[in-house]
Amino acid sequence: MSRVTTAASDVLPADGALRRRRGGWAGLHSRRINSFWIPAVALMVVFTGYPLVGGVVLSFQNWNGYSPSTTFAGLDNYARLMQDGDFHTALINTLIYAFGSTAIQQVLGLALAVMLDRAMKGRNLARAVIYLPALVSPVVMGTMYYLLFSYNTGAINDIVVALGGQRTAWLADSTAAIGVIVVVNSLQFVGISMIIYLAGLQSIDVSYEEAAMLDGATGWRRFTSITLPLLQPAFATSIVLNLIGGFQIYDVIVVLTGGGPGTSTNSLSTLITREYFANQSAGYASAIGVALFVIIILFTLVFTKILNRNRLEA
Amino acid sequence: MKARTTKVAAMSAIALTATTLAGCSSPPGGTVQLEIESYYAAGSALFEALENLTAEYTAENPDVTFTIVPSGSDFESRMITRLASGDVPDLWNTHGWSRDRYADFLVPLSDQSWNDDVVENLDAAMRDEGEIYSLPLDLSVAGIMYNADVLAGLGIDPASLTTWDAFNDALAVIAESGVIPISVSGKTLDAQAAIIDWMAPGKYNDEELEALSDGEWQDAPYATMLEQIQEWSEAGFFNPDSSSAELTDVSKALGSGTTAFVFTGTSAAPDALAAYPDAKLGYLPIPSDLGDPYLIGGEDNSFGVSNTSEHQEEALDFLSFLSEPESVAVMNKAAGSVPGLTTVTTDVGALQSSYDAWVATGAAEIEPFFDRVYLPSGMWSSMASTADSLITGQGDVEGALAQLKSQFDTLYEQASAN
Repeated sequence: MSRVTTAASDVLPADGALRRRRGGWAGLHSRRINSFWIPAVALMVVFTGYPLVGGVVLSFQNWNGYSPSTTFAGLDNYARLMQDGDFHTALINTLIYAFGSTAIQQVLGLALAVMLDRAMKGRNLARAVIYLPALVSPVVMGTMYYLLFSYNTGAINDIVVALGGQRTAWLADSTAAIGVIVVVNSLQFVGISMIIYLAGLQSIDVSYEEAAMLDGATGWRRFTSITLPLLQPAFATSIVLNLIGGFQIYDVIVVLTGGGPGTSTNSLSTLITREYFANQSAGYASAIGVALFVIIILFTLVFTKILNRNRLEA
Repeated sequence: MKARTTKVAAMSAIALTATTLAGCSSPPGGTVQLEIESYYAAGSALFEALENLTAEYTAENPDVTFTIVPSGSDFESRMITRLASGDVPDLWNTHGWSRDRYADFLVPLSDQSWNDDVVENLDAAMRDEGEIYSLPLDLSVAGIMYNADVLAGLGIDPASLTTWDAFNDALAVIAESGVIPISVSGKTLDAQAAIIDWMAPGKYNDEELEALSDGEWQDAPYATMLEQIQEWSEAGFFNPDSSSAELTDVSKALGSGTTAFVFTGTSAAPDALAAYPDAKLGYLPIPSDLGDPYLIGGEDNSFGVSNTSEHQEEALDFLSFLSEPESVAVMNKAAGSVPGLTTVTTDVGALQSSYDAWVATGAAEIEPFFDRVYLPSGMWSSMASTADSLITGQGDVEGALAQLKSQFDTLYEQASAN
């Protein structure tokens, strides 16, 4: 370590020389370049930092969301989180939405990426079609699936009836409704995972595969021993992005079930809206928001660490 | 080159500033623009009626123009956001909450010329020690809506359904015939909450009502309502598509006769009649465990004036114009509702026979919307979701009661603190 430090000091000019070099036009230019981060940080402070701090402050208050006055609630809103059955249901649902969607997106996304990485006719068209839903608003996507799953006019029930079955209220059972939401969310954003894995696959040097083929490795062996380990950076990106998206799921639930039956399919995001506007508990809604923020940060840090560690080992 | 660029930039800045300042000031002629945040969806009959009335007012008062903001199911959220951010419109639909939610933001209106003409049935829900904060264009009268042809075909006389037992017997007969007895919409949940809201006045006695008003939750009467809903659900009396049906689906089902009853108030009639113009619809009073059947009535289409509006004088004058019998009649016709002022003659179209039978004759008392009088603001969504959880078999009575009590205590405490 000390050897490196010594070497660096040999190469770098003395402090005084550095200070002289930063003067004049070069210094001005350097300061200008260094100040380019200011607009970005200012935007972050205004549009992310300020609402975040405001939300945290509000979580310690009682407020109906519109009256001019608020009262200090201390930790009451956080204590309520511990006892509120709706919060517990929404928390469990959110974890199901996040991990369920992430798992489906990884498996499907990787499979599609491997398939569409090969030279084949219509490859670009297939990629575009699979990616297309990610560009569509979740409200539109949710409405399309709502029309498929609706009881009287839904295409799925029409098929069931045509096959001799009976109409089913797919969204009336909370377990089934949660499953539908996971599937819809996964299918919408599987294209993003596919693109990430495609980029990962194309960055793997073909010489590894060629060497393995010369050694007689089978296709599956090459996939598990070469492709998968070298895709670790893509896994990290895709999993973390999908997890964050899953934790924030909102629109699809609103369109498909409105959080029902009862409150059984709410996510934390839809519960926040319900508490803030419908139940007029803005302080409590903010406490749920803070809890969601902490959950996302925690899971992101943990998963980033785990996935990065695996990458180093690979 | 650099100097030229600077000049262009400076001139652009001056032009932009001038344009901005011009936008901030009143247009030539001192025209005042009043903004109305409406509860009405763009293109709806009520929205168009209001548009026509504002156009008529502008024709008489060229200095006053209007911007009407359309809305929909997100109206309450929008208003809450606008009030919280200080971006308050000059006038808005108070839609049932002029006193309990919006009074701090509205101009008191008891000194207006129409004050003495407000129908008495609105006093309980709208007045605070005689003060009123909104012009009620109508009195929302609600009973259990029915398809008259379905009931007649099964030999059920709606006038005979004066007790819950009689009503339950009728539901069983209807179910037996293959018609869906009751339809609700899982997309809005309003009908689920309305079942509770309308049953409640016939379940809570005076002592329990007083306790509720004092912030003491009362389990027992609410439990009987939830148990009733659960029994209906277990008997298969609700529509099988209750979780995915839109409100318009429910109205159309009523019009087509695939369902016999809906708890949506008279608002179901326009959609039902639009799809099935020959449908015969009516409403019946709600049975009571404590006395005679009753109807539900209260504030609906009503407008208040912001107490921070820079154009209060003009807004109040427009309100005065809206209170004229001709204007009220236009809005009533669009809503199919009963006038909120005694100066206007009632014409409720297809529901006239029910109006004549129960309201005009005074045969049924009109009780105020229960939640607006006895529950803290914000309970509606919990009432809806707990009822829905029983209808869909996803919850139980005990769990629903615990959730309701918790929400009641929280909101009552919050309302007292704020």
